[in-house]
Amino acid sequence: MSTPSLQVLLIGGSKSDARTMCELLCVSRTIHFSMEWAESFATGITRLQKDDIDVVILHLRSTNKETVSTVQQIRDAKPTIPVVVLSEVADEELAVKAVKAGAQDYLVKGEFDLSLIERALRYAVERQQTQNALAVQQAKLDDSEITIREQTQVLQSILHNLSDGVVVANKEGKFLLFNPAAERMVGKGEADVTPNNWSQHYQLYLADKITPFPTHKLPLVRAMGGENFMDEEVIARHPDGKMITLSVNGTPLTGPQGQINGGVVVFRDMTESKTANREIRRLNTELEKRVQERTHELATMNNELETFCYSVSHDLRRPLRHLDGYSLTLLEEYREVLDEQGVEFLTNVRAAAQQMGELIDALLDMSRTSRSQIQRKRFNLSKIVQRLAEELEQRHPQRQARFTISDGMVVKGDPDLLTAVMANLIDNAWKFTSHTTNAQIQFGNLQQSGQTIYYLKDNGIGFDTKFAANLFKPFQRLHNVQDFDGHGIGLATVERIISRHGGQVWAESRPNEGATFFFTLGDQDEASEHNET
Amino acid sequence: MGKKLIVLVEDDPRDCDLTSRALQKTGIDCQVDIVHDGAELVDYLFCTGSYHQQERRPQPHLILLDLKMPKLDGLQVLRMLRRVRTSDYDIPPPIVVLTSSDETEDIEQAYSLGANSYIRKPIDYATFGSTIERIAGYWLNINHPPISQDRSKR
Repeated sequence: MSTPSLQVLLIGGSKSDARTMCELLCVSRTIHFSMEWAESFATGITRLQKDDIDVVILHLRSTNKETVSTVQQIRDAKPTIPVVVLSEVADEELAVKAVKAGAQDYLVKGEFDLSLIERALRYAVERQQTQNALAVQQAKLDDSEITIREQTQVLQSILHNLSDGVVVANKEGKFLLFNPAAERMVGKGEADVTPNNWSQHYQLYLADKITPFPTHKLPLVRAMGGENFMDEEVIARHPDGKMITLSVNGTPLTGPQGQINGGVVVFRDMTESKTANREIRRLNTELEKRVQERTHELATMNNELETFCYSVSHDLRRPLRHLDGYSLTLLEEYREVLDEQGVEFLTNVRAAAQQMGELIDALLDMSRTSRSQIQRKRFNLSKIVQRLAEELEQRHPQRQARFTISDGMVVKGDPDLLTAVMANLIDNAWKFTSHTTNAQIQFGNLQQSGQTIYYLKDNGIGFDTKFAANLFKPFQRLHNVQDFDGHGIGLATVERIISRHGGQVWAESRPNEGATFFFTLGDQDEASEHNET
Repeated sequence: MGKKLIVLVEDDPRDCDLTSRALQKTGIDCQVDIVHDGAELVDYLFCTGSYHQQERRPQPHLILLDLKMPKLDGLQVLRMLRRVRTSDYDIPPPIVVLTSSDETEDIEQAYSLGANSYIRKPIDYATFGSTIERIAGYWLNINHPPISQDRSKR
């Protein structure tokens, strides 16, 4: 074991005093002393700042007053370094004063030997170390006390400002806490009332608002009895007669060993939310009723619409048939009394009747596409278009047009309705290329931001894009009847069918530079997995 | 071949007129009896109501039935004829529905109630004429009617 060493600073005394002390300490075998001497007090204080001194011996020659203040000054300068006072004279009173001022020990010149000074210095150092450690502990304690005080303040502030009522009672039923919200809700504050009288004092009732709450069922009493529970309903009557519905949660107040020290209840005012719930229920019922009424109205309207369409198909066609029937009869049976113009007029009557018949049929078709259920199937649209193109060519053998149709375009949609779409678009393309030499009609698709866009392109007369918005409205015609026949329903039908598929349709064109009709078909996920049917 | 008997069930006088004319033009030797609604057709066929005084006449070779009529409409007539078929009236003559409607529901119902044919009247009278010519030609000359018709001739 190595010898402990102590760095000693001797302050004051004469040079010979210092030498004597140095010689004395040097012979120690138990402690390895090294000693410095500061003649003046000021030098000593300065030297202390270096922080390598373990203990100070303060050599004092003079009076009381000086002793105390000098010790204090050293202590103030370096509170962690122990000070041993070495006095010229033995003075018990002075010794006490020195220790009170912070000195660890008091020696009298000429009254000590090596072992005494060894012990004095060692003890001084140890005591000081203990004191230092204690001081640290104390500082920590002080800190935690501050923390606790702060936390308590926070908790109290929370409890005070909490909108929920909190009441805590010990196991005898004495209230330990009764926060302002609790007071507000039950209408009365903390009172010195035993649990048996709580119901009566605080005017607590069962849900019927008449029966006083039985003591043994009171939430706080149950919590004090060790129960945990939630959402117990208690009605509290305020002094002003107002009834409040409380929803109460309870839990026992347990000590560190798990023993039950009382109970805690937390509750909130449910009166308003109860009213709100009732209101929500009432509104819901009303809404449901209105939805039913509306549904009924819609069903009636739908019915009326169907009846209307039925009538249209019957009643409007009938007079048209008669117009045409009698016009033709006139033309055939009274031919000899009619001049050229008479014949022409009757022919016009017949053409008009025919046209109106087609209009009615187109309208009915459109109304059917709106009414009929969509049957989504996967099918090959290219083949349909191919077939439609062939039909057109057969119907108008005198026309020349080149069809370019991309193969294998499989789509998911209603085959009948989409066939109607393609028929309308192709008829249009066919019609508007009728004055075009080298008529070309192209059907294909392209991909744009993960969506398939189908298009039908022609190099016919096209149209001015500023009218494009009107294109898909019923009875809109961009061309005059003399040049191109048609009733202006086709594209409206197309638009309805496409939008019922969840898709969009639009057109691009410039006069005399052809037109391109684009459409999408909504969700096609399944169809894209398979390429051919 | 004797004179063929056609019953036209039609409430609109102009339609009656135009259909009769079209039938005459076909050149087929036929008599057209007109009844104006379904109820009258039933009386006509069973010699009841205003027809109860009439002598038993031969069964018609063809019934041209409009769908939309007052009192009993066409579909109701079909339903009724179907119901009585098993009793005192064996098998009705061929019934061709001749109407303005091309509603899928009407077509399906007409066939399921025993109509033999369903024709939508075109607006163009010339087309109508050729349609009638083909109907009459087929049902009166080509088609073999049910046996009950032979019995009525006896």
